[in-house]
Amino acid sequence: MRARGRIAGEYAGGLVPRARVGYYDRKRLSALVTIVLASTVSTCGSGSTSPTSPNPSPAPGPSGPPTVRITAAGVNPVEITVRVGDRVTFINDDAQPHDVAGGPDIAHPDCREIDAVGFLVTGQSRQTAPLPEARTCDYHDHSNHAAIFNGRIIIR
Amino acid sequence: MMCAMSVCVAGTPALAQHDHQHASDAPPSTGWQWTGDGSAFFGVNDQERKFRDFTAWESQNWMMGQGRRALGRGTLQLTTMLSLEPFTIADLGSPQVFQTGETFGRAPLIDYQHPHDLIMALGGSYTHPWSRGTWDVAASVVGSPAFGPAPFMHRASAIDNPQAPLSHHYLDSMHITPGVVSGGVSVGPWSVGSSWFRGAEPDENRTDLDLGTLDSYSLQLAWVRGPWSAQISGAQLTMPEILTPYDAKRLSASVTYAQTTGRRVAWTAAFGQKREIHGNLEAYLVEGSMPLTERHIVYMRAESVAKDILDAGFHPRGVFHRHRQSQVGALTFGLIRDVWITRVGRVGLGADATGYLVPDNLEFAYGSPTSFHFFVRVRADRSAAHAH
Repeated sequence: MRARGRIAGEYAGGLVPRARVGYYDRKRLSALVTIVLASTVSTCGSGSTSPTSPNPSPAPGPSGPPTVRITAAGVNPVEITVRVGDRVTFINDDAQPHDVAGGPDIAHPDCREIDAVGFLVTGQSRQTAPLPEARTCDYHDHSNHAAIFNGRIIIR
Repeated sequence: MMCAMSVCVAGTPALAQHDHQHASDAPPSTGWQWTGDGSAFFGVNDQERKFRDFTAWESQNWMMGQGRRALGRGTLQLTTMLSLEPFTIADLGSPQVFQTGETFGRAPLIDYQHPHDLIMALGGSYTHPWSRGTWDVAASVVGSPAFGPAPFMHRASAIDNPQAPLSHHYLDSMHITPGVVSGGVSVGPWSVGSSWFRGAEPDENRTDLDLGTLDSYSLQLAWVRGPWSAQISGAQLTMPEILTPYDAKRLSASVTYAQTTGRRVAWTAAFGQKREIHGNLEAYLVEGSMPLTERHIVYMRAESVAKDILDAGFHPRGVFHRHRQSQVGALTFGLIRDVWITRVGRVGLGADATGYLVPDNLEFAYGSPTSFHFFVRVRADRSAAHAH
């Protein structure tokens, strides 16, 4: 079907790059590994004795970028943890349109990066803007105020 | 036919009656004259959309019964109208790109036409002649206030089209109003009528009666001459939409040409405006139905309607913002071939196609949608009448 092909294409092309790993990609990967190792060593060497437990790493997604699916049963997952700078992809698998906006409800707008998702017809997907700081963002469905369409993004 | 346009049919504007004339206008001198009418479509509705297509097997249908008898110098008329759509259309509604109006799951219906209530009309009217014309009164448990052109399913220019107009909630969505009291006066070709009714739209339970306080009113001026009719009307509605707890106004104007004999060509041009706290939304409609032969009917509909799809949703009191508007266009062409014609009705096979003009702010979500219907249409012969 034309439509299904297009959503798959949009999702795969826009959100899950499948380009082959070339020279420059390997170089970027190498730099990333170096930075991660350096920050790990730095943290270990700081000798922190804070009694509070360190922030757990964001739960790795099953695969690909962090994604929230909207169905007739609500948003899934209700709560998702991502890294600073990540985008979250919302996919509308419900039969009705949804309108994803930041904040716990229409009267309390917040986390305007989530507003980039906005209106999604059935089958459509769209990303938030990059989430710039560590914090917790609630979001709601502007067109359907049922609690099952409220969710939370934890940015660490 | 002489009657004030608001109340010729119980709770149904006379303009509906104008499109719905039966074989005899005069009731029998004794006893009741019973007439029936109805239409049903069974078929497949295919909506081709950018991200996902929708296909639904469904039936749009209604049936109406009327009884008339002389009472004093006037005419008493009882009307009831039923629809099985609560059982033949999904609870969510019939897929229709850009259609809006009413709710499902306390969320706005977008891209769906809601099923109509089981009881679409139930009421009575009394028409009485006077020296210069007629006056009439009506009361309906469920009826239609004096507003807008005849509802689309009764409009001669739309009766062969299974799809509701995108302008339905601008022009004629009040045709199922629980609680209507009307009165009107007719002089020559002119009529003026007014209604007092409940402003809230029907709820999501399609099989109950949504009775409540009569809190809204409307006024309509109409003109009827031969196949021509025209009306202008306005309504003040108390919180019509559950999602927007504010009052609203509606305005409409329409011109209809409907032959009741001969070829039965019918055309309607209409304008409707919703004046809501979130902005004024306007709709324009032109539609027609024309028999090509005894067995072939073509129909068309062109619309341009301002929709606030991007900002639909619940707005608690105190939360206010202007809604972004999207002026969508739709053009439908359809053909029905009657394959079986009897004394009481006709059965036809039909199909139609609709293309849409998508505004820039909906382009990304909708692309270039198209929709198709393939159906069997069963329609009563409107001239059927029985006196007892």
